Amino acid sequence: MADVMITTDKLTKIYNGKTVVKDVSIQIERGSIVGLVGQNGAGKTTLIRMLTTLVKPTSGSFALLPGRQRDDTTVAAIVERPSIYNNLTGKDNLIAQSKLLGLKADNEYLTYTLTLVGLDASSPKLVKNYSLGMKQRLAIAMTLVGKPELLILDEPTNGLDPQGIYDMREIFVKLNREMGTTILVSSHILSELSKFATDFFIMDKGRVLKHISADEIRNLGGKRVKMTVDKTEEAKKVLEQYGKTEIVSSNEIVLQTESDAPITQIMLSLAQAEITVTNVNQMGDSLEEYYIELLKKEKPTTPPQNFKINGGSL
Amino acid sequence: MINILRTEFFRLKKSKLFWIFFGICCGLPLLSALLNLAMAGIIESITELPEMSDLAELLRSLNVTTTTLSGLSSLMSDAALFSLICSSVFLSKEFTDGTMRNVLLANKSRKEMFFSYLIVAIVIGVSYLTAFFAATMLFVATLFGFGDLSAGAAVSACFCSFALGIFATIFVQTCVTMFLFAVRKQWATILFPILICMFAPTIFTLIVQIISNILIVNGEIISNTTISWIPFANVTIYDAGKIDGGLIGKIALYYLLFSGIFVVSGYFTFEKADLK
Repeated sequence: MADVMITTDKLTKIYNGKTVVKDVSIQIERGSIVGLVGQNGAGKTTLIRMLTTLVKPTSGSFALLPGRQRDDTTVAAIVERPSIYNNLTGKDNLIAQSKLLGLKADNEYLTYTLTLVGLDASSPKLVKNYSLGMKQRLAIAMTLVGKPELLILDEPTNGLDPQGIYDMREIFVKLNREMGTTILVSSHILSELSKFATDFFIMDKGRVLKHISADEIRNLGGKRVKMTVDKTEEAKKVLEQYGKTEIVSSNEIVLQTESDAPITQIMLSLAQAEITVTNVNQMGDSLEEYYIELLKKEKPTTPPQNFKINGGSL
Repeated sequence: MINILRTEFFRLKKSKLFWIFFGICCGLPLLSALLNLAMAGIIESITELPEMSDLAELLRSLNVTTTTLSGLSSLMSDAALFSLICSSVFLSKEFTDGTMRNVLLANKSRKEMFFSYLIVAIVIGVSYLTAFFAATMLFVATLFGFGDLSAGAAVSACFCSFALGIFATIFVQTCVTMFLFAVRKQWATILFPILICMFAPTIFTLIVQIISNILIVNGEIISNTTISWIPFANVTIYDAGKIDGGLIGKIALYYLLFSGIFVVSGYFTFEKADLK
């Protein structure tokens, strides 16, 4: 049996009669990087708040490192915003965190940690004068102080510039590979998550719709190419030799292929069949595609009867 | 709990607000003692003027040292006020900065968190009170000496007010801690304890009088004198003559009773709360 780091059993949270998280039962294994994906209001943050004991579940239960003794340094987290002392310097924040975790404030390690996240360890600047990006970097450094086994991150790249996002991703991957840290991370930026997460839980309306691994998504998705053509029916016949096809509009067709054939060869086949291609678009991230498709299935495609806008019916 | 305390004391050491108020607590008694010294000089010069003989007689009837000590010990409530503001600002930062999340993530229970912060608040209060008292005794002894005090009553009353000040500090700081954990907003943590400490004794007396139709007070279950010793109703040596062990014990018990109510209500509210 795999070593489980987080397990939840029908975890539910109801605020003022509104169910925010409903019957969530998940297991997260040691060494994985798990992406928690969902729209605003899907229940990601509430789920993370319950796991970090900030919020009490209405029903259900959960355990971090079930069956094992958890010590002060085992779990670290960033929930929504950086939890840092604004009236202290960056280094003093790390010293305070060391004391809280019962660790000796190792100057060398603390300096290394600050440098790792791109902050100046010798800066006398108080945190209240930091930019949001710097605060977020410091918050990540705070989580690293105890070298945690489990890291829970809620939107950790909020406020970071592209370089910062890249740096943080590198740090998370490094932690996971070198120290075996298990990471649960929620993010809206699916393209970013898909670059390093090994598993995904997709949430909607408080429920977990799907648990899927990155490998499964890759296998499901394959290569998706959308083409604008003048003769869709003829194009469909030509493209069927490369994979699944779907006519999505009067002049657009989507090819989903696992074939190794280069796009130029596909174009050549279409040209030989005298089909004019005016636009070719390699479709986006497969996690994003998968997510959108999954949500479409969950949502009603037709509006309810008697639904009216401005007095008129649809 | 030890780790939370270590963290908080590290923060406290770095807190400018704490040290500024601590300086004020040491400086105010000096200022007050100097003013009294100046007054003593004025009285001396007045007594030499024949046309001011009546006033001089009146002033001479006042024991300068006793007056000074009385004034200073009544200012113990200032130390409580400073400690109230300091501890509420200092500790509510944990909620405004969101750092209390780090405490929970470090595998600490809410109980540990509550009682650690309460201890920190009491330490802040007691350190201000001690600084104030020590400075008072030091400056008064240096400037006036204690030799001319009748039977040392003023000094013993001063020690008595210090002892009761500690109970008052516990009362004030449990009040701060209750609002800190129940409301978790900085303004509420400052404002409500001040209002309670300033107006609660009067309101409480009024309620007791209304409910009991003065029977309780007259029946000596609660005396008006005792009520007036609840925090911020002043702990002065003006009433030195009335001080006895029973009264002090009763006052201390009142403080502890109210402190206990604050602890219970603050803790159980926090224990059930959802945090942001």
